[in-house]
Amino acid sequence: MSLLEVRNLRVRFETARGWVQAVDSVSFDLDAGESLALVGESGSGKSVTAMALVSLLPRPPAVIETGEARFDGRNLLALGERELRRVRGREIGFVFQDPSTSLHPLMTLGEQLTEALRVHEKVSQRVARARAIEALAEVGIAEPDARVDSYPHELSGGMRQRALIAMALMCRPKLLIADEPTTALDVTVQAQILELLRELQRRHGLAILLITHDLGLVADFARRVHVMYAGSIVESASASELFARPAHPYTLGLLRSVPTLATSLEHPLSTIPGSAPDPTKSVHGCPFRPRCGFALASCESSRPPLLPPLGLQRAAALLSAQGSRRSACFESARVAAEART
Amino acid sequence: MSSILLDVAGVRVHFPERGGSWFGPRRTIRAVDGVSFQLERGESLGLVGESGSGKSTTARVVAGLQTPTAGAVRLHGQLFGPRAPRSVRRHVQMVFQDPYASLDPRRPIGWTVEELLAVHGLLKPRQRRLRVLAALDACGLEALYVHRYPHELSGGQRQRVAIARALVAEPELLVCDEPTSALDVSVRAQIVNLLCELRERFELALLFVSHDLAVVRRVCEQVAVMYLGHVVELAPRSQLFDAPRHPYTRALLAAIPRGDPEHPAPHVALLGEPPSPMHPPSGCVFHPRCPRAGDVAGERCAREFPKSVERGDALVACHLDQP
Repeated sequence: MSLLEVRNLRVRFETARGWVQAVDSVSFDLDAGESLALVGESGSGKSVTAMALVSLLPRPPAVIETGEARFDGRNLLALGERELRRVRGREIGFVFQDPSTSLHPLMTLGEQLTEALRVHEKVSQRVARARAIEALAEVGIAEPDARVDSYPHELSGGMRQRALIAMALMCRPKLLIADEPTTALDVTVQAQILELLRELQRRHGLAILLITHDLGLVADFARRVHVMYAGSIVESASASELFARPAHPYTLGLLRSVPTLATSLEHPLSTIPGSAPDPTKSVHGCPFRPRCGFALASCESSRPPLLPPLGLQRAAALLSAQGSRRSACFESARVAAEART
Repeated sequence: MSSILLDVAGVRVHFPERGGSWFGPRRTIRAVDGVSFQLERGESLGLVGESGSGKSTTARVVAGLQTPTAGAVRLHGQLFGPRAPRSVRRHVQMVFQDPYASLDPRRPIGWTVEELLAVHGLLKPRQRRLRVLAALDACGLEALYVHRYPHELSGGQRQRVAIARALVAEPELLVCDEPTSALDVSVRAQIVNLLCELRERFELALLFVSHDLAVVRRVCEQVAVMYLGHVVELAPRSQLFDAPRHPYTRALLAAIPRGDPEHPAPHVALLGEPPSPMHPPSGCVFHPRCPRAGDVAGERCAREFPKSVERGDALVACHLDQP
């Protein structure tokens, strides 16, 4: 059984310019000890999805319309605030993008690290402090018994991010939600933090939900990937499948438009024309259609469902043979159907 | 007259520590500590490095927005800086990272772009309009954008406006500070292509500051790698990416995710983080993190700053790489 099962999650926001459908029918599974990435550009709904799971969205303006999120058998979206508190920070840990704003500037690391323990586990000060020192050591902070009394401003960016990871892991959660955990860091430090997350995952069997815009990071880190566009998952695949044979035109466009150290310099970079749709306008058909080079007539009238890229009729029968790969695109379904006949 | 357009010679920028300690002397932040390079007409140089390396401060000095503490910037042999006459300063224009912050939200795009011509007293009002339209067109924006306001545009379009504003004065040198970092991935490629195209079309020299080496490789023929206020390696693109010489350049290249799940980046290339420019290390500024600092006899790396020497087509500042 999966550790986390998200089904048909829909979230919208009330704004001055009307309703915004931030997350539209998102479903995914995450197994214990697995690493899963939600990839997308700004406004794609990747962070809102993660925040909705643990009710960290301010309501209003956010409204969770439908959906279920089963974590260890309980539906997170139906839990009351008291029960949620028992899950948040204890069974599910978080690491956010900016380590300088997620730490309290006037509390020592030790005070912040032990807070969760004292809320959730009622341990004594001494035990809590010892565990804080242990956690700091585990995330690779030198001289943890001195650092435990430091204030955040005394630490570098990378050290602060390590401290945040230590804090998220204090109660030994089963799931870590990491929202752009390395975006604010330099590349040499980013590599260190990724290695740390990988190692913690190996050691504790931690499941990690990585939220990022950086495809390079995804390739290095996640086993499964869901690509989001305008609030929906448009493609899901294993990382190696996704990079070798992207099935959705948006994924293909993204992969081609990111320069790497290996791409040829002879031609200009290929680009995705235009920009992401205005979220306040409701879309008919495929939200990527205005930017898509493969669009068909059917893309205008109805939204393509997320299916294995195999041809619509045979999809269900062949699902098991193809693993859990899916793409929400009529054209990729058509091509696949053609290839089969 | 020589073909050297821009000559940056021994530039240092030291800032006094803000606020400082209540007791004792104010310390100095050595943001840029002796940077030299030259640019010819139409040439492009990328400045890369991590935060605190001094790459943005160097760009601000070149754009004439910051007076260097020591050293000099010359444009066509003439001293250049915040005090240079407007007629000289118009030849260097800058594009900033955040197009949301660098455009006036209360002015239509046409006004914002035209303002630059007015400030420099270029052209008559009628001709100015035409020049504005031409600059917007060169950046892929239609004439109707003249009447739009920044909030009506997407991030990519705003950055196009910022580039059009820089181009309208027909500069010889364009200084770009992380021009693609605030943009979404799918839009970033459009702006990278636009910059490459404009450079060729207008024979623009380009100083391009970025932390993204893959983007710099696309845009620039020369690359300077900065660390803690120093240029540690300056080399032509092909040499820097195919045969990096300085240990820091190598580590930086190794740390970039490959975008290939079958061949992930080799784990942790470099330990620790760049030290504060307030207390730069003795000797070679990179030595506390350098994987090869121990290879040099007599702890020379900790004592003596390595001079930049020519190695092939590159300039490298490393004790391990001396002729």
